[in-house]
Amino acid sequence: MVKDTRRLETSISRLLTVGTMTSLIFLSLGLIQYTTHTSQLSIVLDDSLILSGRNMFDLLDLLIKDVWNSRTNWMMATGIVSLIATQFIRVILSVIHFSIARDWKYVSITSLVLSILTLNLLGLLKL
Amino acid sequence: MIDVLSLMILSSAIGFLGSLTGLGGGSILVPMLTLLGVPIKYAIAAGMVVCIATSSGSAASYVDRAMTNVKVAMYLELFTVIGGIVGATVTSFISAKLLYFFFAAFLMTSFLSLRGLHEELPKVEKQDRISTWLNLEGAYFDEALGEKVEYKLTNALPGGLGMLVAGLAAGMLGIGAGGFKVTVMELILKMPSKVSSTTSSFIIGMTALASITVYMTQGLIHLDLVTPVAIGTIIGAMMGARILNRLKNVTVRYLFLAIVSYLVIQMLYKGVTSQW
Repeated sequence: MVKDTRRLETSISRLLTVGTMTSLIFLSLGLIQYTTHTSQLSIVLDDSLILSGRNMFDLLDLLIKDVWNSRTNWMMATGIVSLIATQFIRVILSVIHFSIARDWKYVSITSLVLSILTLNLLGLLKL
Repeated sequence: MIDVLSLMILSSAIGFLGSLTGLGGGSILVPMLTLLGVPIKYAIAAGMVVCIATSSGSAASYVDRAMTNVKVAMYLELFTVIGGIVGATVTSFISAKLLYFFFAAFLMTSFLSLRGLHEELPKVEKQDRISTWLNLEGAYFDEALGEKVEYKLTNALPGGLGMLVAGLAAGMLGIGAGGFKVTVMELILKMPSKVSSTTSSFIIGMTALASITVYMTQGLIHLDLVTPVAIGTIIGAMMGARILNRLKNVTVRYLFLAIVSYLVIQMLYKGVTSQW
């Protein structure tokens, strides 16, 4: 049981490291690209830089189109989406790990959290 | 309005403090941004990004060193996520004034831990049945004490209900509610301070993840605002995660109570100045 928990901790730690570093790289490159493109360092709340979608999965679809069309904000958007997605993936990872360890109590708990989050990210639950 | 570099420096300080104390940092960032002229709704959305960035930036290191109790976090997340959904749903039916006073009172319970402020680690003589069934226990190597600390938690059900209230606060007030989470884990579950800070940092990302959808669908996430905030917070949180284990639990508790004092004053002020 302790060994299984340790394995889960290692996997989550690696996932969070990769996700956070990926996000940090995209955000930094995106910010450099934006500031050099606009030649300004002050924040002006530019309406063309709003990250929005009907739900998280719709946002991913829009993001792929942005990347395809090489819109200037795609790197910053990818950075924020990576940050958000990392948190979601770590719940999926936990469900998988507890299932492999046959820890059914925690499979139930994490599956319930995953279901609620998925419904929420689909915009089907108000929060 | 503020410039990119200043915002990154401010955010890194918030991320640093957040990773040490288990607070998301939204409660500090949001009033600061509004003072700097950012409209409140965009500031709150940026506050949610800060919570996720603090969580992601610090949790990798904490989980790797077994300082975060992942199982306890999973159990408590269930309550905070449900609390958050209920909170966001009922928030429009309850007076904002009452909400601020209620949550200020709830946060003030943190000071109940003053009695045991000088105790480095809490003592649990006997676990309750549910805590035993859920294996709510753990161990980590404490660099400040130079020894492996083994701990057992108790009061699983009251702790879960406390987390439900923390989730309600998050949903109703649009914050990560790290202060509430740490309070519940230390006072009810009897968790060591460092573990409660790191476990709160871990959970807070999930609470903010659940909240951020609404801000995104309403088009409140401005990339030129949240990008420097996220970069600064991640860097600050990573730095904080490197030093927490070298601090004593008592130091972490003092730091936490100082920030909670600020939050209580902020909530009381909002309660007094808001409309019924």
